[in-house]
Amino acid sequence: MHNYIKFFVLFILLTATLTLAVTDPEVQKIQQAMPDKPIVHSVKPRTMLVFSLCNGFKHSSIPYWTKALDVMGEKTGAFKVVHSDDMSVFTPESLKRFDVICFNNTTGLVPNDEQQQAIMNFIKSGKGIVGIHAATDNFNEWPAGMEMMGGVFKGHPWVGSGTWAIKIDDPDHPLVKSFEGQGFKIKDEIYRTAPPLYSRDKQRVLMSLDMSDPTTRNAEGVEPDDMDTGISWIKPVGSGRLFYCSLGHDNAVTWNPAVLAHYLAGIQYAMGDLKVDDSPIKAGSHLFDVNALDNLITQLDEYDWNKSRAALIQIQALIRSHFNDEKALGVIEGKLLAQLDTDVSPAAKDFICRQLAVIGTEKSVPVLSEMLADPETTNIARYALEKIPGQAVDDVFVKTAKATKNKHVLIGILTTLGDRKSERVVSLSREIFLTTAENDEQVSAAFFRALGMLGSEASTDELFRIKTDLAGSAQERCADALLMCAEALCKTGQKQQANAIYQKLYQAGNPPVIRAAALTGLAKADATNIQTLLSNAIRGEDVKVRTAAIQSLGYINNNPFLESIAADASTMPQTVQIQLLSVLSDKSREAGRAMALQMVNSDQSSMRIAAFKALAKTGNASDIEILAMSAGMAPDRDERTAAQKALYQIPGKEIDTAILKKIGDSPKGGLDEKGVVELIKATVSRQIEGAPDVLFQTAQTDNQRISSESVRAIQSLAGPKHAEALVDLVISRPATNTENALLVIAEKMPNRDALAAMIMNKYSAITDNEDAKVSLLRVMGKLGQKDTIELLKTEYASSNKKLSGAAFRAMTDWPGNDFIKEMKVLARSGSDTKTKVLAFRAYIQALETSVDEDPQQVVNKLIAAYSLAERPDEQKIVIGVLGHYGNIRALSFVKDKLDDPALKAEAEASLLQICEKLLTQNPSAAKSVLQNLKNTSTNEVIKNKAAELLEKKRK
Amino acid sequence: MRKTVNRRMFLKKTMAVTAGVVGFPYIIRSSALGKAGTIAPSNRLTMAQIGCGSMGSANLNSFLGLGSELQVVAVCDVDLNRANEQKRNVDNRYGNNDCRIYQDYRELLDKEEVDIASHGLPDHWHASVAVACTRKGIDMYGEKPLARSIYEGRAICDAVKRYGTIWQTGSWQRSVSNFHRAAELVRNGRIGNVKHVEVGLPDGDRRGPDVQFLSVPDTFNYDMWLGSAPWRPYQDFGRQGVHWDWRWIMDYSGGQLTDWAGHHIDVAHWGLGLDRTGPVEIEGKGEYPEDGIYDVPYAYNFMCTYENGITIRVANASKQPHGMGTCWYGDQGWVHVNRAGLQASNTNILREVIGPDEIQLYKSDNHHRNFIDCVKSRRETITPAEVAHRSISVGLLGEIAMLTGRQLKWNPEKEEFVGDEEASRYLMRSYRGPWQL
Repeated sequence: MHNYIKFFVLFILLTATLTLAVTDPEVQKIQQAMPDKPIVHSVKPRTMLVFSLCNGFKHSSIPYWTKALDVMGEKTGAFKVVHSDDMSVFTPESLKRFDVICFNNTTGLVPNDEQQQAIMNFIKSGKGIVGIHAATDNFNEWPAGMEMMGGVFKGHPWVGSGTWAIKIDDPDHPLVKSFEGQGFKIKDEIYRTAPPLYSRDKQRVLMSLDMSDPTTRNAEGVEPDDMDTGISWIKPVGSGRLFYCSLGHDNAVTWNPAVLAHYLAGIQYAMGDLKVDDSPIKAGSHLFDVNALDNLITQLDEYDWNKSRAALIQIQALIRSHFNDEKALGVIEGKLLAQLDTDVSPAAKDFICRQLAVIGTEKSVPVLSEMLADPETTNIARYALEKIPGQAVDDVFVKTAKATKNKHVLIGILTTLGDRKSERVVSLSREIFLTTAENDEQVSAAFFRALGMLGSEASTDELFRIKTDLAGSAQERCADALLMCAEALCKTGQKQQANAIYQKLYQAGNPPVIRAAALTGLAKADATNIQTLLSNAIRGEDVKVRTAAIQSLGYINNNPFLESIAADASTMPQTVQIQLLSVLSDKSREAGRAMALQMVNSDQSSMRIAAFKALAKTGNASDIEILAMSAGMAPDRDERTAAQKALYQIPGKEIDTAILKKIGDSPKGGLDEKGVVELIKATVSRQIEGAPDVLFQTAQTDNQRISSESVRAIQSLAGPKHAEALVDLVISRPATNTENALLVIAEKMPNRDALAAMIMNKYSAITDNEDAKVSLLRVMGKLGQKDTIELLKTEYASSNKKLSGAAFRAMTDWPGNDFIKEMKVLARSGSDTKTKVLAFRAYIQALETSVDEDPQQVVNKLIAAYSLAERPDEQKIVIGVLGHYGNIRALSFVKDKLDDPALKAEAEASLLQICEKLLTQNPSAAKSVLQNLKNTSTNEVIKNKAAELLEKKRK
Repeated sequence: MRKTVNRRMFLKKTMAVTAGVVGFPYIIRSSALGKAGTIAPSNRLTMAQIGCGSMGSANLNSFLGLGSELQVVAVCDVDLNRANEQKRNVDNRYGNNDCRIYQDYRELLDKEEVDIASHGLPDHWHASVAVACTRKGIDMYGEKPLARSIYEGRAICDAVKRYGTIWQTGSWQRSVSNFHRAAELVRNGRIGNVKHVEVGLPDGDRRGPDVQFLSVPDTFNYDMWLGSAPWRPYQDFGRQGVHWDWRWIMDYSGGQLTDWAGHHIDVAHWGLGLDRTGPVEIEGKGEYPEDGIYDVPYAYNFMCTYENGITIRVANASKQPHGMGTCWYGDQGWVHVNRAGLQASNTNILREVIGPDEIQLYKSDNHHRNFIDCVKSRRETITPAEVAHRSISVGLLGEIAMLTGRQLKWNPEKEEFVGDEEASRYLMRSYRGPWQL
């Protein structure tokens, strides 16, 4: 915030000083820098209207441009200048005398309909408009006006204090002659030129930001669209012409000779005197500084793995910023290829090939194909070639594969043909598989994979043709390729062909892994005989095939079949049963449940756990009892957890109803108390609505565990509407847990007055149940409703010792300061130590809760109260509470206690708190105490915290 | 400090009463229980660890800690020193000298018949090893990210589906209760309709070290370490050398972005129920070192749009309002989760109970145990290959969007860019021979 204000003030100052007139030395600089003759002699006298009104931000450079344009007109004789900042100039009548309107850093112009028409007709009739820098920050409500300018202000990530790189996009163009084809750097503010208003398809862009310059590319706030940011452009509008240049925020631009010459040429173009090509360059080939690219590419001569990568990174950035520009990429590709064809280092070749992988075209093929054949360079050539589309590339791969004597070259090509899913691999395999791969596992594997990747009928046939007498890993790889083919054929709807492959691979005698995959494939493809195959496999000997069969049940949608498998499961090994159950319970609720219920009775814990997990998904209301019993009583903890989870998770409202019914029936016996407790817990985890009605009954039972679990559940589930039932519960079961349940519900109640009234009514109706009264008094104390104050005072004064004691405790619990006087008196003169101590604590608490009071008064009272504290425990309380006040008296009082060993720790902690609060109001006092703590405390935590606070203050 | 004072203080207001009201069923961690009895060796699952570096050895120790249900029979690393170190670790645990050592995983797969394998490898090696193991029918625990490229990730998913193997990814945050809880709250509409998610991941290094050539130690098979990645001489990779700092070089990893995508983007997807699909539009900007051997972005910021209009912004934690982690924004509030815990726009959201008729997300309390349980039951794990693939795909798509510097249109079903031949070139990196998937 402060920084912002500072900035703002500075900004006002700057504006104030800089809008002053241009100084004489500056005028001299402008005159010296100005061209001394026109670019072209005018065919007739020309007049330019320089318009400088700002409704928005006002640039300090406006008077500089005013002056510069005057000088330009006078010195070159190209035109006369008339100045205005009055919108009424925009009428057809008054514009007649001008050849050009120049918007000199105008901002926020809002021409009315007539003015819009006047400006548009002016340019379309064959005249010119020139824009300097902020000239695009206008016409926000006039789309045709923004379109005419070719852009509108969208921020400037390149701020005025920076120096930015500019490239010449159209080096041969007469308007940029003054830059001599060389990009340059300039300190100026550059506007974002966001598409679609800005587009190279609509305007001829002469210069733009050079994004190969890291500083320019990485300016704060640069976005992907900013990669093409135009600096100056021209375009025909009707029969007229527009010239805009972004440079000119900084005053110094007005004495930059090259920029001034550029402006002069632009103005003369707008006037119609300088005839140039102003058609847009669509995806032009001159969009970057070719010299700069050459320079970067030359640096590759010296590049090696251990050298700086700076130039490489700039080339990459250049490529990135021209991704949409085929011609530009073509130029870069050509230059990279030329460099690749020289004897640069392997590191440089590596770099170039990586770029060609991104931008390479068939143009790269000749150079890369030579490298492909050479074992030394084959991999990196392929790195690029693999990504270049087109038949010519495949031709090279096939030709090289046939010609090479090097196995690595061949394997690499096969890998790439596979990744390209090239059909050429089929004929290649027919021609050379036998001669190259027969005795070479690696080469044959590469062939298999390439054919598998292709996944066509032709590649399938070829795989079967070459698959003879394979064993070991070759057999696996060939089968893998066939499986890939089958998957691809399935995808294209050729299920029969796919099934034929799977059936062949499933044949007995093939390795189990392949048979397992084939069986899975058959299930996925829904083969006709799949059920027989699966049920045989599940009963079969082979573990891999059996496991695949069980998992494949997941693809089968035939419930009677799945249930028949479940019914048969009990005869199978336990591990199989567990797997079957996990698959079936996801698939069919009936089949899963039937199996789970069998397994619940197993003598193996792991079987029962699996059964409970399955019941969580498949169970129904009649399974609640077994789950509750297991959750409460199973010997194994994992088992109890699984049963508990199932109880919480079985979906369905009917489960909730059944749980409540079971709980409601529990007093009649039948279910063990541990089971009932689990059901009560489930009401909470399932958030069963209506549960409190049942729980209020079970809370009354004599069974202590059931009763307290019920109260716990009530506390979690009950709402305000249960308040009365809860008060009754406290009266019938006076105890801490019922009191707490009532207090928790009270927290949720918007109107606690009514609750207090109800409690008092019920209280007065109680006869001979002192425990109930004591409980209600405790509740009243913690509740702190003012209506109960009188009742508490009365009961405190009563002769019934039990009630009087309870009322006293209620007053000490009281959350406000209503009993502050009573507590102060009792702290001083209570009948016994216990009373005094309790009253003292309550008094301090009441003091602290007196929020309305002046903190100074509270501190004074706390210090006064200290004299009542007879024991260190009470003294510590006062010291601790004083820590809550950033007060100088509190500081000096607590500081004095540092010398008392019994109080030292408390005093140090309290001082830290006081100082933290005091640091802004009274830094010197706070700092000296903190310094002292830092130096003398023996407690590391205190020392560190003190040091930390001091450091924070220093900053 | 205030706590110190308060601890000694008595001020028991009604707060003390309300504390502890919020209760969830306490679920016992199975790893804490300890199993009674041991399982006969013939019934144990046999396991191999491939890659014995930091994550490899950490996972290995987690598996060893699961007790006698499994037996580690072999370890493999291209660096024999590392393999030896873990052999000693395994043998110490079992009190014998039986653990076998391999430097080449292909040899291991030829000679050993293991039921399960765990890999902790540089990203560029994930796919080859995963697919090779899967072809043998081996169930796998694989480190995240699933793979270095989208194409390789798909190859792993296809292989796992083809061979019906069990796959667990090292995206262990799914097995930690605060992440599960956050995702479940969001899935069940506790913050209303989710519109936007922010994912904050760590910053990268601005610049790598100056690069020096080193001689390859005898015990280290550097060429194999490079594997399918383009060749380069053995060089000093920086602070901890080749075994750790590969992660800042694009040939081997995508930096912090792809390292962490498998965590916080994974969790973001989980909460959205979008963990088996992907975005349809990706756009963003990365900042890359200007020099030095590291070339992954040190800063990244990209936006993904899904078909239903939900957006996810992935950026450096320092640029996200909630910092590290995942934050879902709904029309009724937000939930933020990271390793430090769970936060919400309103604490009441965190007290919400998810009922039995609502979406119950997959629950696991121990990531490694979940894998072993699934190997036995043949259930899908909590982070199967397809889910891991979709998580890292977001990171990889962001990487491509930043490299190409433009808005990408993606078809998550076909896993293709729409009309963008250039971007498609980044979906896979050409494999150096003779390596292939």
